[in-house]
Amino acid sequence: MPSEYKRGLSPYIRPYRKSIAGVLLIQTAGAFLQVVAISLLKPIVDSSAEGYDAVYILELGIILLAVTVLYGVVIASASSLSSRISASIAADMRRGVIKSSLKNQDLGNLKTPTYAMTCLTGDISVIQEHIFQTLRTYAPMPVLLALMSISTFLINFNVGLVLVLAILLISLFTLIFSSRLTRLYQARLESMDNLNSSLREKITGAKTIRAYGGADYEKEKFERVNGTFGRYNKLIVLKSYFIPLFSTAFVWLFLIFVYMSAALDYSGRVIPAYSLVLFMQFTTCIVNTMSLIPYLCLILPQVRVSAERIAETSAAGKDYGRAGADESGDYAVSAENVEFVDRFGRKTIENMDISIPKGTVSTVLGPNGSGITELVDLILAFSVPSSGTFRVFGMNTAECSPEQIRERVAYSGNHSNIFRGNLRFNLDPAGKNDDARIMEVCRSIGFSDYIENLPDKLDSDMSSRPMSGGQNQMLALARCLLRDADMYIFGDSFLSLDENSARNALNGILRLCEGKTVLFAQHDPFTAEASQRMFFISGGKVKSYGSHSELASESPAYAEMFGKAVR
Amino acid sequence: MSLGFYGKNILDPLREYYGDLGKRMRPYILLTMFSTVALSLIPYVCGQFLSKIINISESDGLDLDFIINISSVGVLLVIFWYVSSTHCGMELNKMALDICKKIRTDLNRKITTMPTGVLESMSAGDLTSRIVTDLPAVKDLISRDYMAFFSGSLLSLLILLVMILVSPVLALSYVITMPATLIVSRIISKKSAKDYEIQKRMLNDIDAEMSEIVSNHREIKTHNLESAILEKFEISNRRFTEAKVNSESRSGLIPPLASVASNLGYVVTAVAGALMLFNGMLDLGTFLAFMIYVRLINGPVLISATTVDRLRSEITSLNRILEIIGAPEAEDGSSEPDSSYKGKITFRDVRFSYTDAAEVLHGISFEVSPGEIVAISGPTGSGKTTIVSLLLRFYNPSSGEVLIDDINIKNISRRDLSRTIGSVMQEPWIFRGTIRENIVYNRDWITEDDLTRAMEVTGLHRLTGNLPQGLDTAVDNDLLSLPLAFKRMIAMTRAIAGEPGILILDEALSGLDPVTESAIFDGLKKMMSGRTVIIVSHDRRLTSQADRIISLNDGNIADQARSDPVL
Repeated sequence: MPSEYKRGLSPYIRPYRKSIAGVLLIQTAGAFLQVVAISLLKPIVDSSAEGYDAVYILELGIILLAVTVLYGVVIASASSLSSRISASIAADMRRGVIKSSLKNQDLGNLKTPTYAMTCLTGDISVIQEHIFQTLRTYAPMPVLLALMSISTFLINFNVGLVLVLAILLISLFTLIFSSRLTRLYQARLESMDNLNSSLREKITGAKTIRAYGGADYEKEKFERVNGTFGRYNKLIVLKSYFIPLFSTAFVWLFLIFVYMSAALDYSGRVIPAYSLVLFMQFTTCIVNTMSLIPYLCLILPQVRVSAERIAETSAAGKDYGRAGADESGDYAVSAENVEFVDRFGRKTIENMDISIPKGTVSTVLGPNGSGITELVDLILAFSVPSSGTFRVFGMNTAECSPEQIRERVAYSGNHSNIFRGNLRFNLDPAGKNDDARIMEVCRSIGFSDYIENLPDKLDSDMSSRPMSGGQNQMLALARCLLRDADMYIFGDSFLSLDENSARNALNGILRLCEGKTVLFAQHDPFTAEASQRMFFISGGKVKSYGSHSELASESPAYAEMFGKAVR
Repeated sequence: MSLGFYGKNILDPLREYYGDLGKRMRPYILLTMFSTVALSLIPYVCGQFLSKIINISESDGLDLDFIINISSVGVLLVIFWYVSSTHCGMELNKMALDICKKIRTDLNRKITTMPTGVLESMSAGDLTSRIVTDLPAVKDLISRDYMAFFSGSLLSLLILLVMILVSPVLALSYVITMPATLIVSRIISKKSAKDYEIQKRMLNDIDAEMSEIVSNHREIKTHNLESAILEKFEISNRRFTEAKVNSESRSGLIPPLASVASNLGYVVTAVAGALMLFNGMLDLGTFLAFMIYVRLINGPVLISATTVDRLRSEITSLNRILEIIGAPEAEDGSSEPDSSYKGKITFRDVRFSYTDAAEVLHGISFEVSPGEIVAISGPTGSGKTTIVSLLLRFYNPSSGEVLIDDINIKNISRRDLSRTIGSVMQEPWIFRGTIRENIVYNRDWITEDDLTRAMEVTGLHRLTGNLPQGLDTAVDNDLLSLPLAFKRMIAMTRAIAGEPGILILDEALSGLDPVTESAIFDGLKKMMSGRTVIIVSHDRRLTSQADRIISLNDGNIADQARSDPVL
């Protein structure tokens, strides 16, 4: 209902109150000017009809033109202002949507991956167009209709009354009809989302689809979504096609009725030609103005639906407080009796106690599904324990904002997502390092040759440049190492590298991170050798920890893992 | 701004795929023509009314019959106009919707059958933006704006015709002023064409940025890049807003200018009319009707002038969509249906380079016998994945041949190729659906037993066993990130479940702990005994278990050794 969408839109509209008031004022002036222009026609036509001298008509004409030019200036400036206001409001809305997408911890609040995109370009465009048209075209309507009704009342009270009734009837009728369309518009937008994300999915899965010859299967899947969308579109057409021209037809019928009754009503008095002509001018103006009403009413349900969607998408994520860091401790990570239950209901971490001292190089490893990924997520505050306390540099992850934790902990996985932009941006998106430092870090891990061989070096555009698995891996490592953090976590970070490159990168990492806390979450024997402490995780618990040689001799499961891992 | 020019150009590109739209629209255009004739006669009717009323004052008696007759004519005209226009509108809408549905089907087909190289040259963000933004614009074009432009132009021409018929001299005096409107509109719309181009590009930029935020969300959160990405987005946001304001302000000048021009025409016509009335060359009723026509013609001229802008932008969208629909489809080979292949693979002097890059493979040749387990290893960027891509016929070699069972794969149907080869890519693709659907995909002949057997090999049942809905758990690629190992297992189960004659694993086992990796590999060997397996990996532990290792270096084969069993 209207109140909901106003709530969604009002924070965006509020800052522009003054400008909007200004535009409305200008438009009111414009409406008056238009009525003046029409009234000027009366003496022109009157004089022409009575065959007055052409010079007089020309004089009147020049005044009319002057008024028209003034009117033109008024609506041009109103139009430009309306455009600026509506575009700025739309820009603010876009920023709101993006901000909230970035603030949310994950995108689970979105129904489909393309939901926010459709919102950004589709819904916001609808609202922008609506605000623009309201300020530019629809704003003078009430004033115009009021002035015209007044003039009609002056000519003939009954006619004026019927006119006002006609305006009210048409508006009511179209409003009622269009409100019944709201749910249809909503359903249509939802199915459009499904359609868009279905198509987008096929783009990311292009290779697999071709490898499996899945084109026919994808077609079947797609036609279901396509059909639903088409059906909603048809339904909307069937339920609304008679609305737009309705008021025009109604008004013409009304006018014919008026002329008929005026003719029948005649009781011998002399009706001056100009008042009738004036009335005719007004009637054409009225027809043009009132034909806008249905369009306005048709767009209202769309606006309502779009405003709701925008409000939903810009809903901010949870606001955490900022906790103080307890620097007196010796531990980068400390967890006591931590348990974690994942979103599928499985207890993936059970009674875990782990303490990683500051400044050490450690490794966590274990069989797949043993809880290593979940542990890393807990350290990075992507999840919080279901019970127990998890502290990173003394900060309780359940009580402070994740951003705080991630300021001090940098992570590199085995894959880096490429951002649109150049290589420099991809290596250092926050822009905190100069080129010299960037190249120094890349040289340490063995990435600098690749960069030197590029024609544009750090300015190379990454969006159209496919990287091999190993180059991509190096980018991830560099991006992580270029951050000024207190702890660095490497999860499967050497997977795409051959042994020489991996050893080289490891040496670089150890050199660059000297004095900081380093944690490896992978199965390489040489990172194990470089680690001061190994944590062997199995079944969601820390089974044993110690140095590599200690564990190899004490724990058979550990030895088995490394027995197979000998290169 | 001739109609013919626009009529021909707009719909012609569609003719190739969807038939002669122009011809199908013709009956509705004709009907609209007739109904617009009806509409344009109504002011004439009112004019007759008026002259009757005015003449009544000069003579006695009231011609009731005439008034009733002419009222009925008026009412009938209005009803005829409303019914036919609304009907035409609905039919055109339905036609447009049908065509849009077909376009969507074709878009889907092209995305799934285009050659991989062509698809990769377009960024995913750009493609998605075409679906999200350009497709709705095409729908508006066909269903609304094309007809609006046509009927607007038609109506103005018709009114002009009626004016000429009613009084050629007066019409001439009006026409003299018309060029002013047209010329000014033309100049303005030429300038706004460029604005539209920029606006379109900026909108696509915004789409791409949002798409990136969705794909890279986890990475953005991991490195606290929220403000950096927001800043990046603001650049596109600002540019788009500027472009929109520019183009709207510019095209917002048209209505006021048209208004001035129309009033100019009005005055000139009034002067000429006055002269003619004075000289008895014109009767009052005609004159009054004419003044109404002058007012009326303003509307349609304005509509056509503003619709041209929208049309321009929509034609750009149409071209972007047709670019994809007109893209070539990957060539298919022909072979005996459902032939089975033993699994002998031959690469003969194969050279290959990606579109504009340096050559990646410099004439490599090797042979794999049926039932062999061959590892392809080498440093990053040496061409391993390229070999897999060529074998799966994602691309064609620049020179040389790829053969299966001594048949060039160009002569093997893609269907047979996809049935024969099961593959797991480096980036596993999970689509929206259940885990079961992701495994079975398009092979409905896979039984529950096949599924169970495959899961036992990969160990997937251990991961899904704890899920409350087991294999029927819903999964998705983008929104909630699944752990990589999970995705890899699903993809591997997918490949094995089809019992392919050739199995390709491209770094598929990396990321798994050594124990799991060995278990899977042993299971694979047993299941695929007698069938060919190709493992792409630089992991020596894995490759040492193959029958033979092909080592690549910089696009050449360095070595083809039997693996050392001692290792």
